[in-house]
Amino acid sequence: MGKDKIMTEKAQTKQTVSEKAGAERTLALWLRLCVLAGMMGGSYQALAQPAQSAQPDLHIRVLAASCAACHGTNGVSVSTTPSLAGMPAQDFLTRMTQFRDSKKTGDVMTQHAKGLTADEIRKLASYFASLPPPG
Amino acid sequence: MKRREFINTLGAAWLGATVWPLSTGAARNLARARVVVVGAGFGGATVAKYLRMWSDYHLPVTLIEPNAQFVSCPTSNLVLGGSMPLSAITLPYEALVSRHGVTLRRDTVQAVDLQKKQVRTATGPVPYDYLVMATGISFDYAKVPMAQTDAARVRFPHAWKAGEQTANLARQLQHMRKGGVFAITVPELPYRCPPGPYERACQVAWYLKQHNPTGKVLVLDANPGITSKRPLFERNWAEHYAGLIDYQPGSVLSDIDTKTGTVKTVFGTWKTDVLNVIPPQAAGQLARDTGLANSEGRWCDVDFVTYESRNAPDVHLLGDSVDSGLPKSAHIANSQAKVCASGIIARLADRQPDPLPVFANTCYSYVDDNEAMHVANVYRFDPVKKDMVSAEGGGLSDKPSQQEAVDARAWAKNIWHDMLG
Repeated sequence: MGKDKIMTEKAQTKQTVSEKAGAERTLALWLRLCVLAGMMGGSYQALAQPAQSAQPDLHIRVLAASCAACHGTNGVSVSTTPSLAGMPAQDFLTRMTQFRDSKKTGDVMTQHAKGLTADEIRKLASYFASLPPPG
Repeated sequence: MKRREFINTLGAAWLGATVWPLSTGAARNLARARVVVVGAGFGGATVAKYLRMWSDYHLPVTLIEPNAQFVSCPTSNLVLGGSMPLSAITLPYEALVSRHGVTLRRDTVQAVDLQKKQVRTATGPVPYDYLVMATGISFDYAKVPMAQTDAARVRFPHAWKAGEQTANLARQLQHMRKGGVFAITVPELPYRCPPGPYERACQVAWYLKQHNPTGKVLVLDANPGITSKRPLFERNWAEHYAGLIDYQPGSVLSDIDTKTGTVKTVFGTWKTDVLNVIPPQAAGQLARDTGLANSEGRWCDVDFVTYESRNAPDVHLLGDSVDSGLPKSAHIANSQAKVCASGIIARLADRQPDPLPVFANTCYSYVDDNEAMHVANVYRFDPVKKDMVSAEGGGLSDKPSQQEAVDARAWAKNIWHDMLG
């Protein structure tokens, strides 16, 4: 109980300190812009759906997060299941299409792939490709 | 800036950039709101972590949980089989605090004041703007009140909330007399983890096969048949546990002689040496006491787009308490938590939540120490039915395999890390 309380207070202090640190915020913003700029030239843009890019795609983020039970938070696996983060979009598409069209009806990934739309699979491919690979 | 914070900021930057850059106004709204999560199981711990992550660590989240550590129900049947110690499924909450800045309060919530928007705990009130209740299940001993006393719960453990109850049942199995009967009573659906009782039968039979081969497993099932992975369990029992598992469908428990452990069902009287009573279930007691249960009084109705209660605004419910046609599984609680986190953040950022959420469920059962099998399904929200419905293509393994036991362990490691890491 005592230990939990102390840790909690420590975490809160950290939070306050980090929120006040303007320079660090600027750095975060800068990083974000870098990442965004980096993606513009990559496969993300090629696969992005027109007219929807202005709106956050919460549908895909939540669906992708549901994969985390086996493939790890943000697509980074901490076990024997393959990581999805940073996987080239074309590789993801190819694998998922193979699973979806497979005759192996008892295969777990075939069962998942058959439940998704082609559009969802395409967007998941670009989403996972855009996440930082395990490092 | 500490290294960890820097990594957090970097992670947030990535997510924000790829999917949703938060505006300054949204960040300000998020930083001002107070979210309280009650219960740190698969639903509650996950929603706390994802509320932090997806708000770029702006939204303050308080998680209230009475237990010092998390003990996983999935995998806990292996403790009975003897291939997994309880310590291996007992995990700390620390990273939620140190890595994600969740305010963890080790406390018990006694009541919720919906008008004042605060929860009353053993150590004082905690105000909220949004409340997430992830309080799991409560047990209903109405049909067998004699099994409800503290002494009876020790003598006839449910082991349906992992921890001391699991250790107790494992000890009883280890000390059962040679040739004894280990009985499992299965409640009518819906209950937490539909395949769980049958996986348990496999694990107990596996243990007996090695240590007490003249012993028996008696499964008294209130349902008309095995409720999950039925063809796989039936084949496995016939091939590996013939004569060891006695399965009795349609057997609603009606009486227990607490002196002798003899049980009665509509079909007969059964002598038992170890009696594992898995009672009928309902939503967590706090949710029921707060008036959030539906007209039948057992489970809670929610809007599946945000998991907001249909009975109380700004109160969200997750996991096994929710009334849905979906199996009450850890992966579903974990997925619901993400839909809920996304919905709360969208609302605070003045955006629309995803109107058509989709998520997956994968659930493994171990048939011995070495092989497992699964059921997998995608579920999507049907706006006409206002319910989550099964998508095409879901199904079962062809048969249990060693590879699936590897996959099952990988699932557990990743989902534990996803909620706690």
